[in-house]
Amino acid sequence: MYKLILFIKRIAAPLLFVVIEVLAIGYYTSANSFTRARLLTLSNGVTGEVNAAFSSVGDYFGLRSENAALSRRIVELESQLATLVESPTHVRISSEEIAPYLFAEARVVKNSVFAQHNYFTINKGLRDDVEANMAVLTPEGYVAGYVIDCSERFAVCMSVANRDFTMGGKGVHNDYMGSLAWDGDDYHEVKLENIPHYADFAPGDTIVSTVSYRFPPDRVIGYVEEFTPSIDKMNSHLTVRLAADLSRLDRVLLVKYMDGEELNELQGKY
Amino acid sequence: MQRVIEYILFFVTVVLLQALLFDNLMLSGLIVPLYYVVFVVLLPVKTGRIWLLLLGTLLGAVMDISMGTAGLNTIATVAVAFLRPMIINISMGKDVVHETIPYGGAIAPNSFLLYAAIMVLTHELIFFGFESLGSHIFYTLAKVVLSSLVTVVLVTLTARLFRRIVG
Repeated sequence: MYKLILFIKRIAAPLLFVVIEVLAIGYYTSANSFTRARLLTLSNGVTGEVNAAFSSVGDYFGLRSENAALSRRIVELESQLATLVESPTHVRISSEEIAPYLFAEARVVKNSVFAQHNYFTINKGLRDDVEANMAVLTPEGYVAGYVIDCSERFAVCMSVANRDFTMGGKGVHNDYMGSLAWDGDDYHEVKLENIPHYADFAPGDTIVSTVSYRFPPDRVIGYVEEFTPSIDKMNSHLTVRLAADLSRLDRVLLVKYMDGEELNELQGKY
Repeated sequence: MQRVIEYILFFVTVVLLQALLFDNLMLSGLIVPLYYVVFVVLLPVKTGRIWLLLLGTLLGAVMDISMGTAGLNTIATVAVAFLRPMIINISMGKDVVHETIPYGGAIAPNSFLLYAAIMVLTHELIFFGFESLGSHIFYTLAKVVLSSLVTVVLVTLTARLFRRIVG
């Protein structure tokens, strides 16, 4: 009996170690992007306010460049508006239907770019009608990520620099489509995969979003750096330099596609 | 257990420093200090193996929730907590017997440095190894080495301060 107790005492620690590690590794390998976002949402309840306070400290230093970006954006939108006002009546009538996209603004209170699964937190949540699958764009309209989970006052968004991130992208000049993925290396660059080998892409070409239940179409994702034709001619890929600087996200635009749920439901059937 | 209140305060401080300061620094992709391991490094020398494992799990789980890493921090921290008695043996040997905190007193500064370096390096190696799962091997190794370097400096500074306050 004494020997047995001695034996249990000796193996208790290694046994406990193995049990905890097996559980932790099991949890880690089975976790998906939603699990991770859930954990961040949970911790935002405690640290969200403090992070928001910290991020507001630097506000005044960016005002100058923010104003410049804002006026550039106004010029852009004004010129779009001008063409719309001058267009024939029947075009105007059709554009007066209920807008399929709703826009809102938010601020990033916590961000990360150096992990393999990067997320950022914004200061709007359920009480501001933020919901999962809303697109997140920079003020210039560049793709930055999408909302994945919300708490009452905050929302966790998956950054483009996340190995689980995926969306459709196409060349603005030739409409060749591919699927976008990040390989976990450099947060400035993503890959656009499954491009036909005969597609004509040159460095500097603009890549924009395709219609999806998350993203509005024709939003700039980035610019082609390199076209890599595959050996078997089946799926070539593009290296794309992101237009958005993910490490400096501050003000962002939230975009809700009113018909997104319907589209997702219909596509999910097939 | 000695100095329970001091260690509870230390735990809270370490967690807050990691969550609010080091996780928001974003200096470079190669320097990602996992500073919070300092808590396991500075636990009393005579801490039992079961206690080490339980406290390591608690610390890892709290960091997992804070960083949204789903188990990654727990895997690395529990492993370091389990290996700690062995690492103390290798790096400090008999110097450590009469000390309560594994820093200062009869422990030579170089022994502590070796101890802290092995602890931190093991921790970051497991963390970033699991995170990258074998891809980008050289980049990951560079990340482990540089992050560990910064973390060891931070751990040593904390140890000096901790020794002065807790004694």
